[in-house]
Amino acid sequence: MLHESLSRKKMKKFNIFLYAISFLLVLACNTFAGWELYDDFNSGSSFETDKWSLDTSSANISIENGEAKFVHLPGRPNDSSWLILVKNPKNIVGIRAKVRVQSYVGDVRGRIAGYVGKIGENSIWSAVRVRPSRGRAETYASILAPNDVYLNDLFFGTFKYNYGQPANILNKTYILEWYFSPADIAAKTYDQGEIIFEYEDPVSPSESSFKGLGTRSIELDGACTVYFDDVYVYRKRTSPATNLLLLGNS
Amino acid sequence: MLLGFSSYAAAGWELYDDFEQGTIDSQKWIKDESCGTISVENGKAKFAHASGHPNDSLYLIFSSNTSNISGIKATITVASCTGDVRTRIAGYSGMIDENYLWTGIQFEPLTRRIYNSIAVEGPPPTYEGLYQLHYSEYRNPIQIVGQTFESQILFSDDGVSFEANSLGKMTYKFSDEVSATDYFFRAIGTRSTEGQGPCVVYFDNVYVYVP
Repeated sequence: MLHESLSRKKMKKFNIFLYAISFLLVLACNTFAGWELYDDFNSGSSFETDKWSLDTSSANISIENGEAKFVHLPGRPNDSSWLILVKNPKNIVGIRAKVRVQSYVGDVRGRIAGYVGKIGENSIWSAVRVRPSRGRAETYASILAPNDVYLNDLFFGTFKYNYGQPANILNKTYILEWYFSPADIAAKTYDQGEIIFEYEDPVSPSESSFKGLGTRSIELDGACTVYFDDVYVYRKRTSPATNLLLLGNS
Repeated sequence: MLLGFSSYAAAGWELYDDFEQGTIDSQKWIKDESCGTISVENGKAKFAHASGHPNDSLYLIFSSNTSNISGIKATITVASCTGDVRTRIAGYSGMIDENYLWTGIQFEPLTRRIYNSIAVEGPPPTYEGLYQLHYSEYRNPIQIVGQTFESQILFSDDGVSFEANSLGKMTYKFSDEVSATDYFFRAIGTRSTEGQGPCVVYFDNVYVYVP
Protein backbone atom coordinates (compact mmCIF):
# COMPACT_ATOMS: atom_id res chain seq x y z
CA MET A 1 0.00 0.00 0.00
CA LEU A 2 2.76 2.37 1.06
CA HIS A 3 4.79 1.26 -1.90
CA GLU A 4 1.85 1.93 -4.24
CA SER A 5 1.30 5.37 -2.73
CA LEU A 6 4.97 6.24 -3.19
CA SER A 7 4.85 5.03 -6.77
CA ARG A 8 1.80 7.13 -7.44
CA LYS A 9 3.53 10.17 -5.96
CA LYS A 10 6.61 9.47 -8.02
CA MET A 11 4.49 9.04 -11.12
CA LYS A 12 2.69 12.32 -10.40
CA LYS A 13 5.99 14.13 -9.96
CA PHE A 14 7.28 12.53 -13.12
CA ASN A 15 4.16 13.63 -15.04
CA ILE A 16 4.53 17.19 -13.76
CA PHE A 17 8.18 17.10 -14.76
CA LEU A 18 7.23 15.73 -18.19
CA TYR A 19 4.62 18.43 -18.74
CA ALA A 20 7.04 21.12 -17.59
CA ILE A 21 9.72 19.88 -19.96
CA SER A 22 7.27 19.56 -22.84
CA PHE A 23 5.94 23.06 -22.15
CA LEU A 24 9.47 24.46 -22.21
CA LEU A 25 10.23 22.54 -25.39
CA VAL A 26 7.10 23.84 -27.08
CA LEU A 27 7.90 27.35 -25.88
CA ALA A 28 11.45 27.04 -27.17
CA CYS A 29 10.30 25.67 -30.53
CA ASN A 30 7.79 28.42 -31.03
CA THR A 31 10.07 31.18 -29.91
CA PHE A 32 13.45 30.36 -31.33
CA ALA A 33 13.31 27.46 -33.73
CA GLY A 34 11.53 26.85 -36.97
CA TRP A 35 14.32 27.24 -39.51
CA GLU A 36 15.76 23.92 -40.58
CA LEU A 37 18.50 23.14 -43.07
CA TYR A 38 16.90 21.83 -46.25
CA ASP A 39 19.99 21.37 -48.40
CA ASP A 40 23.56 22.59 -48.44
CA PHE A 41 24.29 20.67 -51.67
CA ASN A 42 27.21 18.87 -50.06
CA SER A 43 25.84 15.36 -50.48
CA GLY A 44 27.28 14.73 -53.93
CA SER A 45 27.16 15.74 -57.52
CA SER A 46 23.46 15.19 -58.12
CA PHE A 47 20.33 16.66 -56.59
CA GLU A 48 18.50 14.57 -54.02
CA THR A 49 15.21 13.58 -55.63
CA ASP A 50 13.31 13.54 -52.34
CA LYS A 51 14.13 17.23 -51.95
CA TRP A 52 14.08 18.69 -55.43
CA SER A 53 12.28 18.53 -58.73
CA LEU A 54 14.14 20.21 -61.59
CA ASP A 55 12.70 22.46 -64.30
CA THR A 56 15.52 22.99 -66.78
CA SER A 57 13.51 24.57 -69.57
CA SER A 58 15.68 27.69 -69.65
CA ALA A 59 18.78 26.79 -67.63
CA ASN A 60 21.29 24.07 -67.01
CA ILE A 61 21.21 23.22 -63.30
CA SER A 62 23.99 21.32 -61.58
CA ILE A 63 25.91 21.03 -58.33
CA GLU A 64 29.36 22.58 -58.32
CA ASN A 65 31.63 22.77 -55.27
CA GLY A 66 28.74 22.33 -52.86
CA GLU A 67 26.48 24.94 -54.48
CA ALA A 68 23.52 24.69 -56.84
CA LYS A 69 24.53 26.29 -60.13
CA PHE A 70 22.08 27.73 -62.65
CA VAL A 71 23.38 28.66 -66.09
CA HIS A 72 20.43 30.52 -67.56
CA LEU A 73 20.45 30.19 -71.34
CA PRO A 74 19.93 33.06 -73.78
CA GLY A 75 16.81 33.26 -75.94
CA ARG A 76 14.24 32.06 -73.39
CA PRO A 77 11.89 35.02 -72.88
CA ASN A 78 9.36 34.66 -70.06
CA ASP A 79 10.73 31.27 -69.15
CA SER A 80 11.79 30.16 -65.68
CA SER A 81 14.03 27.40 -64.49
CA TRP A 82 13.55 25.94 -61.07
CA LEU A 83 14.74 23.81 -58.26
CA ILE A 84 11.30 23.04 -56.87
CA LEU A 85 11.06 22.07 -53.20
CA VAL A 86 9.22 18.75 -53.01
CA LYS A 87 9.84 17.58 -49.42
CA ASN A 88 6.59 18.41 -47.60
CA PRO A 89 6.28 21.75 -49.39
CA LYS A 90 2.74 22.28 -48.13
CA ASN A 91 3.90 23.28 -44.65
CA ILE A 92 6.82 25.46 -45.78
CA VAL A 93 6.12 29.08 -44.91
CA GLY A 94 9.62 30.48 -45.26
CA ILE A 95 12.76 29.93 -47.30
CA ARG A 96 16.24 31.30 -46.71
CA ALA A 97 19.13 30.85 -49.12
CA LYS A 98 22.43 32.31 -50.20
CA VAL A 99 22.22 33.71 -53.73
CA ARG A 100 25.22 34.84 -55.76
CA VAL A 101 25.25 36.04 -59.36
CA GLN A 102 28.55 35.22 -60.99
CA SER A 103 27.84 36.70 -64.43
CA TYR A 104 24.89 38.06 -66.38
CA VAL A 105 23.67 39.47 -69.67
CA GLY A 106 20.43 41.46 -69.80
CA ASP A 107 17.80 41.30 -67.09
CA VAL A 108 18.01 37.72 -65.80
CA ARG A 109 17.37 37.47 -62.09
CA GLY A 110 17.88 34.80 -59.39
CA ARG A 111 15.01 34.31 -57.00
CA ILE A 112 13.14 32.48 -54.28
CA ALA A 113 9.45 32.37 -55.13
CA GLY A 114 6.14 30.61 -54.77
CA TYR A 115 2.44 30.82 -54.04
CA VAL A 116 1.70 32.33 -50.64
CA GLY A 117 -2.09 32.48 -50.45
CA LYS A 118 -5.31 33.51 -52.13
CA ILE A 119 -7.45 36.62 -52.13
CA GLY A 120 -10.89 35.50 -53.20
CA GLU A 121 -10.39 33.15 -56.13
CA ASN A 122 -7.09 34.77 -57.18
CA SER A 123 -3.66 33.49 -56.23
CA ILE A 124 -0.87 35.51 -54.64
CA TRP A 125 2.54 34.84 -56.15
CA SER A 126 5.51 36.32 -54.31
CA ALA A 127 9.28 36.42 -54.64
CA VAL A 128 12.47 37.90 -53.32
CA ARG A 129 15.15 38.18 -55.95
CA VAL A 130 18.55 39.49 -56.90
CA ARG A 131 18.51 41.60 -60.05
CA PRO A 132 22.04 42.34 -61.28
CA SER A 133 20.92 44.67 -64.09
CA ARG A 134 19.54 47.02 -61.41
CA GLY A 135 22.29 46.30 -58.91
CA ARG A 136 19.89 45.43 -56.13
CA ALA A 137 17.60 42.96 -54.42
CA GLU A 138 13.82 43.29 -54.78
CA THR A 139 10.63 41.72 -53.52
CA TYR A 140 7.05 41.72 -54.71
CA ALA A 141 3.71 39.95 -54.66
CA SER A 142 1.42 39.70 -57.67
CA ILE A 143 -2.22 38.78 -58.02
CA LEU A 144 -2.91 36.05 -60.56
CA ALA A 145 -6.32 35.06 -61.92
CA PRO A 146 -7.35 31.37 -61.59
CA ASN A 147 -5.76 30.61 -64.97
CA ASP A 148 -2.48 32.13 -63.66
CA VAL A 149 -2.92 35.28 -65.76
CA TYR A 150 -1.19 38.26 -64.18
CA LEU A 151 -3.64 40.88 -62.94
CA ASN A 152 -1.52 43.35 -60.95
CA ASP A 153 1.15 43.71 -58.31
CA LEU A 154 -0.03 43.78 -54.73
CA PHE A 155 3.20 45.48 -53.78
CA PHE A 156 6.73 45.92 -55.04
CA GLY A 157 9.74 46.88 -52.94
CA THR A 158 13.45 47.37 -53.35
CA PHE A 159 16.40 47.22 -51.05
CA LYS A 160 19.34 49.62 -51.32
CA TYR A 161 20.31 50.84 -54.79
CA ASN A 162 22.42 53.54 -56.37
CA TYR A 163 21.19 56.48 -58.39
CA GLY A 164 22.40 56.41 -61.99
CA GLN A 165 24.83 53.57 -62.67
CA PRO A 166 23.66 50.39 -60.89
CA ALA A 167 26.04 48.91 -58.34
CA ASN A 168 28.15 45.97 -59.45
CA ILE A 169 26.77 43.08 -57.41
CA LEU A 170 28.58 40.28 -59.24
CA ASN A 171 29.85 37.70 -56.77
CA LYS A 172 28.21 39.45 -53.84
CA THR A 173 26.54 36.80 -51.70
CA TYR A 174 23.07 37.84 -50.66
CA ILE A 175 21.40 35.93 -47.84
CA LEU A 176 17.76 36.23 -48.86
CA GLU A 177 14.98 35.30 -46.48
CA TRP A 178 11.32 35.10 -47.44
CA TYR A 179 8.50 34.40 -45.02
CA PHE A 180 4.75 34.52 -45.40
CA SER A 181 1.57 34.10 -43.35
CA PRO A 182 -2.11 34.96 -43.85
CA ALA A 183 -1.30 38.37 -42.34
CA ASP A 184 1.89 39.41 -44.12
CA ILE A 185 4.84 38.74 -46.40
CA ALA A 186 8.37 39.54 -45.24
CA ALA A 187 11.53 39.63 -47.33
CA LYS A 188 14.92 40.18 -45.80
CA THR A 189 18.47 40.65 -46.95
CA TYR A 190 20.91 40.20 -44.13
CA ASP A 191 22.80 43.45 -44.69
CA GLN A 192 20.18 45.63 -46.38
CA GLY A 193 17.14 45.48 -44.14
CA GLU A 194 13.73 43.87 -44.27
CA ILE A 195 10.53 44.74 -46.14
CA ILE A 196 7.21 43.65 -44.67
CA PHE A 197 3.87 43.96 -46.41
CA GLU A 198 0.73 43.57 -44.31
CA TYR A 199 -2.48 42.72 -46.17
CA GLU A 200 -5.68 44.67 -45.92
CA ASP A 201 -7.65 41.88 -47.61
CA PRO A 202 -8.47 38.53 -45.98
CA VAL A 203 -6.05 35.89 -47.26
CA SER A 204 -6.76 32.16 -47.43
CA PRO A 205 -4.23 29.32 -47.91
CA SER A 206 -2.93 28.62 -51.37
CA GLU A 207 -4.04 25.46 -53.14
CA SER A 208 -0.66 25.21 -54.81
CA SER A 209 2.34 24.35 -52.66
CA PHE A 210 4.81 25.34 -55.40
CA LYS A 211 7.92 26.98 -54.00
CA GLY A 212 11.24 27.13 -55.73
CA LEU A 213 14.64 28.65 -56.30
CA GLY A 214 15.49 29.68 -59.80
CA THR A 215 16.23 32.08 -62.62
CA ARG A 216 14.07 33.96 -65.08
CA SER A 217 14.34 36.44 -67.89
CA ILE A 218 11.64 38.56 -69.45
CA GLU A 219 13.32 39.46 -72.71
CA LEU A 220 15.72 37.38 -74.82
CA ASP A 221 18.30 37.77 -72.08
CA GLY A 222 21.14 35.53 -70.97
CA ALA A 223 23.40 33.90 -70.34
CA CYS A 224 23.49 34.28 -66.59
CA THR A 225 25.19 32.16 -63.92
CA VAL A 226 23.65 32.12 -60.46
CA TYR A 227 24.61 30.04 -57.44
CA PHE A 228 22.34 29.04 -54.56
CA ASP A 229 23.53 27.53 -51.30
CA ASP A 230 22.56 26.77 -47.70
CA VAL A 231 18.82 26.51 -48.23
CA TYR A 232 16.80 26.62 -45.03
CA VAL A 233 13.05 26.28 -44.71
CA TYR A 234 10.64 27.43 -42.05
CA ARG A 235 7.76 25.05 -41.53
CA LYS A 236 4.37 25.67 -40.03
CA ARG A 237 4.26 24.13 -36.59
CA THR A 238 1.42 22.42 -34.79
CA SER A 239 -0.01 24.55 -32.01
CA PRO A 240 1.37 24.15 -28.45
CA ALA A 241 -2.01 22.78 -27.31
CA THR A 242 -1.89 20.10 -29.99
CA ASN A 243 1.66 19.19 -29.02
CA LEU A 244 0.71 18.75 -25.37
CA LEU A 245 -2.30 16.63 -26.27
CA LEU A 246 -0.13 14.43 -28.46
CA LEU A 247 2.40 14.10 -25.65
CA GLY A 248 -0.30 13.32 -23.10
CA ASN A 249 -1.69 10.55 -25.27
CA SER A 250 1.65 8.94 -25.93
CA MET B 1 8.94 43.58 -34.37
CA LEU B 2 5.60 43.72 -36.12
CA LEU B 3 3.94 43.62 -32.74
CA GLY B 4 6.17 46.49 -31.74
CA PHE B 5 5.04 48.53 -34.68
CA SER B 6 1.40 47.62 -34.11
CA SER B 7 1.38 48.68 -30.49
CA TYR B 8 3.43 51.71 -31.45
CA ALA B 9 0.72 52.65 -33.92
CA ALA B 10 -2.12 52.08 -31.50
CA ALA B 11 -1.48 55.01 -29.20
CA GLY B 12 0.14 58.39 -29.09
CA TRP B 13 -1.63 60.08 -32.00
CA GLU B 14 -2.55 63.70 -31.33
CA LEU B 15 -4.62 65.94 -33.55
CA TYR B 16 -2.27 68.57 -34.91
CA ASP B 17 -4.67 70.51 -37.12
CA ASP B 18 -8.12 69.99 -38.61
CA PHE B 19 -8.08 73.45 -40.26
CA GLU B 20 -11.45 74.34 -38.76
CA GLN B 21 -10.30 77.79 -37.67
CA GLY B 22 -10.41 78.99 -41.26
CA THR B 23 -6.82 80.08 -41.78
CA ILE B 24 -3.39 78.47 -41.74
CA ASP B 25 -2.30 78.70 -38.10
CA SER B 26 1.15 80.30 -38.04
CA GLN B 27 1.80 78.74 -34.62
CA LYS B 28 1.63 75.33 -36.23
CA TRP B 29 2.84 75.84 -39.77
CA ILE B 30 5.45 77.56 -41.86
CA LYS B 31 4.16 78.14 -45.38
CA ASP B 32 6.42 77.59 -48.39
CA GLU B 33 4.45 78.98 -51.33
CA SER B 34 7.30 79.11 -53.83
CA CYS B 35 5.30 77.26 -56.48
CA GLY B 36 1.66 77.97 -55.67
CA THR B 37 -0.71 79.02 -52.93
CA ILE B 38 -1.91 77.43 -49.72
CA SER B 39 -5.21 78.41 -48.14
CA VAL B 40 -8.03 76.95 -46.06
CA GLU B 41 -11.25 76.04 -47.82
CA ASN B 42 -14.22 74.34 -46.14
CA GLY B 43 -12.11 73.20 -43.20
CA LYS B 44 -9.31 71.74 -45.31
CA ALA B 45 -5.86 72.93 -46.32
CA LYS B 46 -5.93 73.61 -50.06
CA PHE B 47 -2.71 73.38 -52.05
CA ALA B 48 -2.91 74.95 -55.51
CA HIS B 49 0.33 73.86 -57.19
CA ALA B 50 1.12 76.04 -60.23
CA SER B 51 2.85 74.84 -63.40
CA GLY B 52 6.27 76.14 -64.43
CA HIS B 53 8.21 75.32 -61.25
CA PRO B 54 10.53 72.38 -61.87
CA ASN B 55 12.13 70.73 -58.81
CA ASP B 56 10.10 72.91 -56.49
CA SER B 57 7.82 72.08 -53.57
CA LEU B 58 4.73 73.62 -52.06
CA TYR B 59 4.82 72.93 -48.33
CA LEU B 60 3.15 73.32 -45.00
CA ILE B 61 6.09 72.71 -42.68
CA PHE B 62 5.40 71.60 -39.12
CA SER B 63 6.65 74.26 -36.71
CA SER B 64 5.36 73.19 -33.31
CA ASN B 65 7.40 70.70 -31.21
CA THR B 66 8.77 69.15 -34.38
CA SER B 67 11.58 67.33 -32.58
CA ASN B 68 8.98 65.21 -30.77
CA ILE B 69 7.14 64.10 -33.89
CA SER B 70 7.79 60.52 -34.95
CA GLY B 71 4.72 59.98 -37.05
CA ILE B 72 2.38 61.93 -39.33
CA LYS B 73 -1.10 60.97 -40.43
CA ALA B 74 -3.39 62.92 -42.77
CA THR B 75 -6.39 62.66 -45.05
CA ILE B 76 -5.43 63.50 -48.62
CA THR B 77 -7.69 64.29 -51.57
CA VAL B 78 -6.23 65.10 -54.98
CA ALA B 79 -9.04 67.13 -56.54
CA SER B 80 -7.44 67.70 -59.93
CA CYS B 81 -3.99 67.25 -61.38
CA THR B 82 -2.07 67.64 -64.61
CA GLY B 83 1.44 66.37 -65.24
CA ASP B 84 3.98 65.03 -62.81
CA VAL B 85 2.92 66.85 -59.63
CA ARG B 86 2.89 64.51 -56.67
CA THR B 87 1.38 64.90 -53.22
CA ARG B 88 3.27 63.78 -50.18
CA ILE B 89 3.93 63.53 -46.49
CA ALA B 90 7.68 63.75 -46.03
CA GLY B 91 10.54 64.63 -43.74
CA TYR B 92 13.78 63.52 -42.15
CA SER B 93 13.23 60.39 -40.10
CA GLY B 94 16.72 59.50 -38.87
CA MET B 95 20.42 59.44 -39.59
CA ILE B 96 23.00 56.86 -40.65
CA ASP B 97 26.30 58.26 -39.41
CA GLU B 98 26.36 61.86 -40.69
CA ASN B 99 23.80 61.23 -43.45
CA TYR B 100 20.08 61.97 -43.35
CA LEU B 101 17.12 59.73 -44.18
CA TRP B 102 14.63 61.65 -46.33
CA THR B 103 11.43 59.69 -45.99
CA GLY B 104 8.07 60.07 -47.65
CA ILE B 105 4.86 58.62 -48.98
CA GLN B 106 3.86 60.01 -52.35
CA PHE B 107 0.66 60.06 -54.41
CA GLU B 108 1.38 60.46 -58.13
CA PRO B 109 -1.68 60.76 -60.40
CA LEU B 110 0.40 60.73 -63.63
CA THR B 111 1.69 57.20 -63.02
CA ARG B 112 -1.34 56.23 -60.94
CA ARG B 113 0.92 55.03 -58.18
CA ILE B 114 1.32 55.51 -54.46
CA TYR B 115 4.88 54.88 -53.35
CA ASN B 116 7.15 55.08 -50.33
CA SER B 117 10.78 56.04 -50.28
CA ILE B 118 13.72 56.41 -47.95
CA ALA B 119 16.60 58.25 -49.58
CA VAL B 120 19.99 58.76 -47.97
CA GLU B 121 21.26 62.33 -48.25
CA GLY B 122 24.64 63.74 -47.34
CA PRO B 123 25.20 66.40 -44.70
CA PRO B 124 24.28 70.10 -45.04
CA PRO B 125 24.41 72.46 -46.72
CA THR B 126 23.76 70.47 -49.91
CA TYR B 127 22.03 67.33 -48.60
CA GLU B 128 23.28 65.62 -51.73
CA GLY B 129 21.34 62.50 -52.72
CA LEU B 130 23.65 59.53 -52.09
CA TYR B 131 21.56 56.41 -52.63
CA GLN B 132 18.10 54.93 -52.17
CA LEU B 133 17.79 52.84 -49.03
CA HIS B 134 14.27 51.68 -49.78
CA TYR B 135 11.51 52.18 -52.33
CA SER B 136 8.11 50.48 -52.45
CA GLU B 137 4.83 50.73 -54.29
CA TYR B 138 1.32 49.66 -53.41
CA ARG B 139 -1.07 47.92 -55.80
CA ASN B 140 -1.22 49.85 -59.07
CA PRO B 141 -2.35 51.36 -61.32
CA ILE B 142 -4.79 53.07 -58.99
CA GLN B 143 -7.15 55.99 -59.47
CA ILE B 144 -5.85 58.88 -57.39
CA VAL B 145 -7.63 62.00 -58.69
CA GLY B 146 -11.00 62.34 -57.00
CA GLN B 147 -10.20 59.77 -54.29
CA THR B 148 -9.57 60.36 -50.59
CA PHE B 149 -6.78 58.48 -48.82
CA GLU B 150 -5.96 58.11 -45.15
CA SER B 151 -2.21 57.96 -45.10
CA GLN B 152 0.51 57.78 -42.48
CA ILE B 153 4.21 57.44 -41.78
CA LEU B 154 5.68 56.21 -38.49
CA PHE B 155 9.39 56.15 -37.84
CA SER B 156 11.77 54.94 -35.17
CA ASP B 157 15.39 53.81 -35.03
CA ASP B 158 14.18 50.29 -35.94
CA GLY B 159 12.40 51.19 -39.14
CA VAL B 160 9.69 53.13 -40.93
CA SER B 161 6.12 52.03 -41.56
CA PHE B 162 3.97 53.49 -44.32
CA GLU B 163 0.26 53.07 -44.71
CA ALA B 164 -2.29 53.99 -47.34
CA ASN B 165 -5.83 53.00 -46.51
CA SER B 166 -7.22 49.86 -48.15
CA LEU B 167 -3.89 49.17 -49.88
CA GLY B 168 -1.96 47.63 -47.00
CA LYS B 169 0.93 48.60 -44.81
CA MET B 170 4.61 48.54 -45.77
CA THR B 171 7.36 48.44 -43.18
CA TYR B 172 11.06 48.81 -43.87
CA LYS B 173 13.31 47.64 -41.03
CA PHE B 174 16.85 48.96 -40.98
CA SER B 175 19.90 46.75 -40.93
CA ASP B 176 22.08 49.83 -40.48
CA GLU B 177 22.50 51.57 -37.15
CA VAL B 178 20.08 54.49 -37.31
CA SER B 179 20.07 57.38 -34.87
CA ALA B 180 17.60 60.18 -34.29
CA THR B 181 17.80 63.02 -36.79
CA ASP B 182 19.09 66.41 -35.71
CA TYR B 183 17.17 68.11 -38.52
CA PHE B 184 13.45 68.08 -37.83
CA PHE B 185 12.00 69.19 -41.16
CA ARG B 186 8.63 67.46 -41.60
CA ALA B 187 5.97 68.64 -44.02
CA ILE B 188 2.89 67.98 -46.11
CA GLY B 189 2.68 69.28 -49.63
CA THR B 190 3.16 68.88 -53.36
CA ARG B 191 6.16 68.74 -55.70
CA SER B 192 6.91 68.63 -59.41
CA THR B 193 10.15 67.51 -61.02
CA GLU B 194 9.46 68.71 -64.56
CA GLY B 195 7.56 71.84 -63.65
CA GLN B 196 4.23 70.51 -64.83
CA GLY B 197 0.83 71.20 -63.32
CA PRO B 198 -1.47 72.67 -62.18
CA CYS B 199 -2.69 70.47 -59.35
CA VAL B 200 -5.17 71.04 -56.53
CA VAL B 201 -4.86 68.93 -53.38
CA TYR B 202 -6.65 69.04 -50.04
CA PHE B 203 -5.15 67.91 -46.71
CA ASP B 204 -7.26 67.44 -43.61
CA ASN B 205 -7.19 65.93 -40.12
CA VAL B 206 -3.45 66.03 -39.64
CA TYR B 207 -2.32 63.97 -36.65
CA VAL B 208 1.17 63.60 -35.24
CA TYR B 209 2.57 60.73 -33.26
CA VAL B 210 4.37 61.85 -30.13
CA PRO B 211 5.98 58.99 -28.18
